[in-house]
Amino acid sequence: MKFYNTIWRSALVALALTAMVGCNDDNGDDMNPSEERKTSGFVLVATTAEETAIVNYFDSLPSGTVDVTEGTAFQSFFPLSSSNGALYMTRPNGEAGFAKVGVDGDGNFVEDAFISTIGDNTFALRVRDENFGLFHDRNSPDFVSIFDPETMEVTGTLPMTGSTLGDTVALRYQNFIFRGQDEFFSSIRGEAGESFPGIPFFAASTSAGFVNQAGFDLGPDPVFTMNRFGQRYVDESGNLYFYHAGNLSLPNVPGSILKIPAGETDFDPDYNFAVAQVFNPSNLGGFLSAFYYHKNDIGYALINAELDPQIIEIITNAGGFGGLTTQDIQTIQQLLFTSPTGAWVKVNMQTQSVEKIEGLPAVSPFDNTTVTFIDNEPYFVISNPTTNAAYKLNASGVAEQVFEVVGAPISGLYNLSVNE
Amino acid sequence: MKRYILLSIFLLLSSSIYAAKITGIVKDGGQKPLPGASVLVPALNMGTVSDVDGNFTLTGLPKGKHLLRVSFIGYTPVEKEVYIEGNTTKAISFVLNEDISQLSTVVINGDSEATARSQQPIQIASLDLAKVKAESTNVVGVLNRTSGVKVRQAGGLGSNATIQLNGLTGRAVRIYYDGIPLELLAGGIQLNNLPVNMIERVDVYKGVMPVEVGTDALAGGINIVSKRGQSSFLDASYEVGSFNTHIGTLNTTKSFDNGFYVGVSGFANYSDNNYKMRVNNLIPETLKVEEIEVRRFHNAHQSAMLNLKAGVQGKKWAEVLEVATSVSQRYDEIQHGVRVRTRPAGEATYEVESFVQNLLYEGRFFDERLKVNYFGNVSKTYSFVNDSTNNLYDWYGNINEEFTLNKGSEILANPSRRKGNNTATAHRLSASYSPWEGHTFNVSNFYAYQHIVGEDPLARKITEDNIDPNTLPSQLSKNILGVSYTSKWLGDALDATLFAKFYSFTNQAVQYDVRGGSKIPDYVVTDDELGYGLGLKYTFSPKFFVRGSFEKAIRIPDSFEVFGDFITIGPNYTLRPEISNNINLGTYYKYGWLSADFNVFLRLQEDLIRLEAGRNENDPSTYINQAAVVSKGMELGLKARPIEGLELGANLTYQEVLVGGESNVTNTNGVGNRIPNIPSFMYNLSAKYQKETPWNKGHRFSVYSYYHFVDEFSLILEGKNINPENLIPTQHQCDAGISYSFVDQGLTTSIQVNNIMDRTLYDNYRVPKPGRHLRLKISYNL
Repeated sequence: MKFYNTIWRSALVALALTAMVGCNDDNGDDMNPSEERKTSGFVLVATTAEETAIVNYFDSLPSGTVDVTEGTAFQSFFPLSSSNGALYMTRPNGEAGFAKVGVDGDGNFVEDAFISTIGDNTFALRVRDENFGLFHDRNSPDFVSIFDPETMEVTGTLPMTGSTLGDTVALRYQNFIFRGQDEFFSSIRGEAGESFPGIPFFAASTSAGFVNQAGFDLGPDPVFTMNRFGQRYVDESGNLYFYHAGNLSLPNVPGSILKIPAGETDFDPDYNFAVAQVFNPSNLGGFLSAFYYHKNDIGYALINAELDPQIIEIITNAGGFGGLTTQDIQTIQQLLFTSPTGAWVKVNMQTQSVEKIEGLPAVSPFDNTTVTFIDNEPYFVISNPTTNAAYKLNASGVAEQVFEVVGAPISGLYNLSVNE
Repeated sequence: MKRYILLSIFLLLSSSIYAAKITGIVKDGGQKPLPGASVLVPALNMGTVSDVDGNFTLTGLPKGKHLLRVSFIGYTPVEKEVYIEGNTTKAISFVLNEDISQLSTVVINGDSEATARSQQPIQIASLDLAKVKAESTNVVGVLNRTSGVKVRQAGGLGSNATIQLNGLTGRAVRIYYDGIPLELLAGGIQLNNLPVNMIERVDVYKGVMPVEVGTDALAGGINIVSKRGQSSFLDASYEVGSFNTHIGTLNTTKSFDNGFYVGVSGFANYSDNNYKMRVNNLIPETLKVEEIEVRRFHNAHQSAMLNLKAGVQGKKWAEVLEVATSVSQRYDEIQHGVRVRTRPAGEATYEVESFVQNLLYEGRFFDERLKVNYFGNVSKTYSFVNDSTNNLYDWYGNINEEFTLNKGSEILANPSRRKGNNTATAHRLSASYSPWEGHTFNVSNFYAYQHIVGEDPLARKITEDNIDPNTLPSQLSKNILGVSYTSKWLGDALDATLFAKFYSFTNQAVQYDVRGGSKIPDYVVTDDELGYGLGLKYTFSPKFFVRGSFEKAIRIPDSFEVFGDFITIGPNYTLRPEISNNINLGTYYKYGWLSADFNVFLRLQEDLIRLEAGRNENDPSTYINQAAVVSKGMELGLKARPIEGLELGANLTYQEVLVGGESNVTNTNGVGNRIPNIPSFMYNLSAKYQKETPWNKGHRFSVYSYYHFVDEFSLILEGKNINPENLIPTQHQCDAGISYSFVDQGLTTSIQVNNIMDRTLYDNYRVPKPGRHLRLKISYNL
């Protein structure tokens, strides 16, 4: 017994001593990425319940069922633009700034270069081509910055002062839409989140900055949405189609597509394509939350096809929009984001006609659904409690499933061979 | 089945009609109950130990004269003769006086109230801080050595600390100071600034909170019990360390023969917290960063607390009646938010001053069968958040002359100079009645009220009325009534605690739309909930017992979650309480010089309250109720004293915390995923050796070391390919020290080196903690 006691005691003393001396630095090896970078392939992004992302790369478009948990997790992964196989996004590690993320030969994601901004929550960046990109650091309300997409070096700034808006409130530039080499347009908001009665839209030059302030009055409570990724706003002739979601008043100003004709810098006052209203003239909530121009005057839009009857009941019970409480508004917003009343439609910009896309599952009017173009054809990624899949249109224009996703809700599919 | 029922009834009856009994209570010289004291009848080789309240019962004594010997380490033993006649019950009291010559032994081996509490039917890890008061540590350091507990602290002294307990984290873990939730005691006293010399013990409740302590903790909590001795004593300490750190404490009480006593206690902390760390420093001119090693600046912490008390003790009408007034104050320089960014904050600060008035009453009546306790307070807190500069700092501490911060704030989304003016009051009245030996009924009622108001000249106004939303008062009140029945059965082998808690709360606020809305009606939310539970412990022998507990626990959302912060977090008046069903099972076994404590837990949590990030400025972040969470895990604690003077300890925790509930076909709710940012595996080792010096028997020295291991874990839900950017790497922390006690003079000095290996230690969001640093401490006890 004494012998075992001695063994026990010795073992415990040794355990304690081992613990004291076992403190070597072994915090893990750094990633050693291959020098090779993919210029084609597909990136599938899923967003977890914690708002983080799990990202997968595929050399070719997947089929069947994809388990996204096989991928790599990032604190955020919101691509804004793509060029030469790289994705440009807010920094995926959560730091303030923008990153150029490539895919190496092993299919691993690599942050090749980054721009660190002074302002937090900066998210406006677009790449025109491999030589020129624009971003906005929210700490600088009076100018936007030019950067080299290859190196992520800041190469200059463009002044954006000159409008009447900037005299009273600091501005934030939300999006950049390039038209040709020399022009870009930007939608505007107040730096602290202030919204204006309409949707201010600046026309600017890539060499001199601000040129003109366009605008479209939406009345009170305008709802502004924009495509998170890409440049699908300009047709082959140079006409720029920009959209807004409408406003929250009821009956609301319906969401519509506006047009800045080729060669001009202001909206065409005669062009107001209220897609949801055209689709359903009796619709009291004709919101439009996404639009992608495709080709030959054809585009794709996500609309609220009808207003959820529960919303109408809440408003009626409140005696109209003015009687809504904060809780009512929260409930309405919740319904707008969850009611399966949204629909993807095919729109003709020339004839201003609307056609529902058959075969796509029901979505909510403000769904995070995105459209990706592969071989110059649209692919829709849709995620809701019953569907988590990518769809394409067949020869008859009916949507059919390409692959489904398990593990987390799909939020985006990106084609590395397309520059947007 | 009938047979077992009959057998059980027989056993219960037989235990209650047993032969003669001796019951009694053991107190110290200050008339405080002395738990854990040994009560022996040496001639019969029979004995027991006193319970948490100092009570003991000896049964089965034969007729005749018996000598009882009561002893407790650190106290002079007392012997008394008792004559037993037939099946009678004798009551007898013992008063043990401290033996100054044994004080050093108490530090090493003292089985104290903490030990007694650790052996209750419900699982409590009770930490006796007398054992570490010579060390240069704080409450956070002590808690981190406890199984199932991980304290996440973002930096040095005074930095923000959050506790993870059995997988629960943040506000789900309630922290109490003398049984009152810390948030009701204003901001001056916090976990991160309390020196150990101010504290008697720390009770970590895992799974179940007893009614006399618990308010609305979800699945346990931490109760910091201050030193409240009513006998004369003096305890003072001063500590100086790296980074210009100074910590002083004073705790003294003078008692008089007529039962009156007065006392003063307090602490003062200061640290520059200017330790070195590696950062990415933004170069605004190029929007590039450089990785540099810098010494932190604008990271100082200063806090102080002064408490004055006066009372009377040992009266028929009051065991203790005490009034106390405390003033506390803290000032923090804030260098960064949750994460360390590429640009630091150089001017943001947070200040708080609080005034608290306490009233304490303890009474014992009817031969101490009825015990009444009351503790109440009123507090006033003034706070000031200042984040309102345009200056842009770099990590060297320089202001950039070319660039400014356009938004006018360094950390917050909008500039703020918010002055808070909060009033709170909390009252707990509890009573216990023991109609028969071994059977006690408890009832406890806790009421708390908070009135929150402030002003911020920089706040965004409610558009229609141009009102600063901070000036609109919010009120929150809650009442928790608990009843319990504790009993001993089967010859005292079985301890049972059955309890129920009735929760009710009311939130009243002015409803406004942070986007500039126009509605300002009163908004009232009320709710009632019922919680209940059962704790059982079966003692096979003094060295071996098993225990288990179940509780349906409720946590009422607190003011921060309901009302937001008026800056970045919006209100959600519709928040529902969190509910958790907790099961804890455990066993304790002692074999010679080795003891082991093993526990498993399962928690099924509903309506988890978590912060949902807003989509943009028009949709601010709010706390929401979300899916279920399933937590399960195990804890193992080992203690050993293989040779005289050497004390070894180890504890290990493994846990899984997963999103629960029903999954939909696409798993958009994440069911089955691990909740990120919670470590799964961690363990601690400790070693301490103490001995009298050969040259002077009144002097003792001790050497001690601690090793703390936390396995690598991810800040977010990981995919198959691990992204090192998300990982908190494996943490190894080694601390060691040596102390020398002039026991006969009440003086102890110690020197301690923390993070000996100078590791880069991280915590929440990889905020680096101090590297190797030194602390010197001198303590004086009288």
